[in-house]
Amino acid sequence: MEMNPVQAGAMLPLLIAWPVFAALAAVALARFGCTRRLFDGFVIVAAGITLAGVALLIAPVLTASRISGSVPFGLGRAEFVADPVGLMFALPAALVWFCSTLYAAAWLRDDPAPVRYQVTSLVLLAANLGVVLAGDLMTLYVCFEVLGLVSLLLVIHDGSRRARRAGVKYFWMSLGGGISLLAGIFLFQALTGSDALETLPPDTGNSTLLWAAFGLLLTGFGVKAGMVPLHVWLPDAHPVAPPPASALLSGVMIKVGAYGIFRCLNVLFMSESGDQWALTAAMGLIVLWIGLITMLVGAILALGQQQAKRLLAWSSVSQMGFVLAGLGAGAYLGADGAMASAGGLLHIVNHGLFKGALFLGMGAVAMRAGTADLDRLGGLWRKMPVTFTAMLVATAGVTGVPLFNGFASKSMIHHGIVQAGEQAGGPLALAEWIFLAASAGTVAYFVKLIAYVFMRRPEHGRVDSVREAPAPMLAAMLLLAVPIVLLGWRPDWLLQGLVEWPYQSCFSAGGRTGSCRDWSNPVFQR
Amino acid sequence: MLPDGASDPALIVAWAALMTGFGVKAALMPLHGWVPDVHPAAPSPFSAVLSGVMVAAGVFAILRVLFEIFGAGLLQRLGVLPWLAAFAGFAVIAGAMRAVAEDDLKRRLAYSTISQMAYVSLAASLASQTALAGALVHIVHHAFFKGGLFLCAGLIIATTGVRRISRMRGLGRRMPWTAGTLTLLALAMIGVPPLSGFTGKWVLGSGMAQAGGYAHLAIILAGSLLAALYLWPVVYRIWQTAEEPGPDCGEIPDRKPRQDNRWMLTAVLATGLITLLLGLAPRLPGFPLELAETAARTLLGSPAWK
Repeated sequence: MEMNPVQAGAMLPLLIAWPVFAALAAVALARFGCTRRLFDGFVIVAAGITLAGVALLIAPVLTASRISGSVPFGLGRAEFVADPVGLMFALPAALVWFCSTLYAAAWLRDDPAPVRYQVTSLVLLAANLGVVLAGDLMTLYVCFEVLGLVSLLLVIHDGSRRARRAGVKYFWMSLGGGISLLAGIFLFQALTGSDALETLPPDTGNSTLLWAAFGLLLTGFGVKAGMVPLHVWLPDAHPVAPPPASALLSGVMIKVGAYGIFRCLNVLFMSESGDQWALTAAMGLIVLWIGLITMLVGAILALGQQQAKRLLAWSSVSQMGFVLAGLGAGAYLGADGAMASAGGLLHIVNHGLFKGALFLGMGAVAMRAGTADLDRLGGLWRKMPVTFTAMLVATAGVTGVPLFNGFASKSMIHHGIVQAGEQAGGPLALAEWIFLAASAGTVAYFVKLIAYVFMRRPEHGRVDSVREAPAPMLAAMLLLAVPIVLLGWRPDWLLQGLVEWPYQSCFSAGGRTGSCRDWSNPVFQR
Repeated sequence: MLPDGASDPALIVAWAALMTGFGVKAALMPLHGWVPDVHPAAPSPFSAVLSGVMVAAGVFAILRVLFEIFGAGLLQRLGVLPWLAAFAGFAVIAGAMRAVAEDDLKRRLAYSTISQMAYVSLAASLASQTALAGALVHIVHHAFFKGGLFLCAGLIIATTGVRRISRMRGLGRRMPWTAGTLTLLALAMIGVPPLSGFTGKWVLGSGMAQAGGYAHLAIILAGSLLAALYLWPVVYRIWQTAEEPGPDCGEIPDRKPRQDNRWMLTAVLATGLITLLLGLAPRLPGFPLELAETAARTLLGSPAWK
């Protein structure tokens, strides 16, 4: 179905509104009595329609490079814009959400509040898409806050004491981050005089104000992204949520933080004239350092975990560090930073896929074996072969094994970090060592995870009664595993089509010449 | 309007006297002493009116004095606006901090009124049109959500006799609609989008930032954080389940038959719906935002003694 940009623009607000309507319809369905199957089928189809809708946007966005649509809402209009970068966030989000919803239909079979879970999940899907497809700062903020606060319901879903404690910590940090973000937006608005997600006008004076705005925006987005030292809510909140929710939290929702930081570095603080990268080069350096620290801290702390889900949560912190390092290096290197930024963006897509698959897999293990404690598991490769395969593929992805998706993104980030280290000198010369240490740590703790859960000889009789996960869960996991392999073989599908355009659309008129093609062609062209 | 020829000291004294007089009504610290005792003591429906409307009357008087009697130009010349900002800023923070310490729900809400109404005086001290529009629309939205919160408190007291927040565990199960509306109104006061409190906060904040009032902005945002500090424990407590230790209001028998409370519940739900509507569609013609913007334009554009 071919759509012209105008039709696509009209579809944008509909795409965001659809999951909300579906959520309300689901509440009505449940209220007026319907079978479990009908309810599950409805929410899965709703998520599937959203995925199809996002996929339909690909063609118009590639031709027009920027589609916008708006709808009257709140203080003015809710502005939505789909450009290739936004789509690059929206597509894996919709996919992971679809798989998570499918999985949750099976997971929630014995749950006392399945309706609340699925309805919340649909609302969050709308909020998430709303952030990455937002066209101005107010729409972005509204969707961001809704995302942060409503996701609390997923974190505390099982009602346990641990869940509540994690939820309280999550609530306060989200609130604090939201206030910081709001302050940053107000300051940025005062500087530019408008709300739009655009670069600063030329001759915007007052660099104190600019830096203050950047600091506040970075803090606000950084809490969401799990950036050190604002990450403290993550290792408590992600493990305690139901596994399909953990997949959403780790695989998708923390990415909106990275999205915001990307927009700061590559859109908001660039200047329209003169040296475009003057300000963002310094900002990129800060983000690069934060990324390096985050990746290392996350990896070190993941090594020591004996609870599988906490290990995966710390791993998310670490992988977000990789992303931030890539984005930071890309901004620091300015016109030469295309590869690093692209690597960061690609890693966001990849991480959504493999972390999603990992959380879904561990959830299946926890459900069947009754525990997610590494000390009490083992030998499950025989009992749960499909889950094992999916998790093995995901592990190969996250550790950067060649021919799996993580290899491409990590290599690109690595090149960027090395180049930045050479250019900056000084302590940044350590950057490559930090990257290698974190990557080695990643391999180590994932070997630990797979070995403890699947490979080693279990205690006598402990896993005798374990059988494979139900079919919907397996389907969800495999649906995420397939792109991990596909993107490993053909990363250029994403890179050429989507990444080249951001560098032409993110720069305003008078922007740089040349494009990612210069580097991507020799590396990825077959 | 002021006659010509008045000397500056005389003007300042007159201004201070007017501010003091109206400030008592507007609950401007340190003239707020009557609020925490009077608002909770009144019957709840009237507490709603006291907090939502009568304190607003004091604030309206302050705005009239500032902008129609004196005028922004004169005030800036006299140099009194920073004093107003200081008192108002103090009231925002101190009122909210006292609210955190209160266990009686109505006293907590009364201190919250002091804090929220000081937003308006703080915005007025900047003499900026957008900030003033935000403050004015905040008065209206505040009337609805603070009024609604007092009505919720009244309904809770009428049904269970419980006034203290520490005893409100299990209310969510017992009175789900009231608890749900209370949660909604609390979120509105904290400023969560897309509720009405967010509208006021956004216009207010962007106006302050554009006028260069960064300290004012910081105080407003701190007030928002403090609002969460004194409202979140209430929300958390009412949705707590029976597994947690502590007093529970689930077993207290109804003081009156449920049917008698129907009108009260309707009023409570109405305030919730209005808050939602004002947040989702504030720009509809005739709604408070349009009126506030016109009012701000009039006040700051009004000819005054220079």
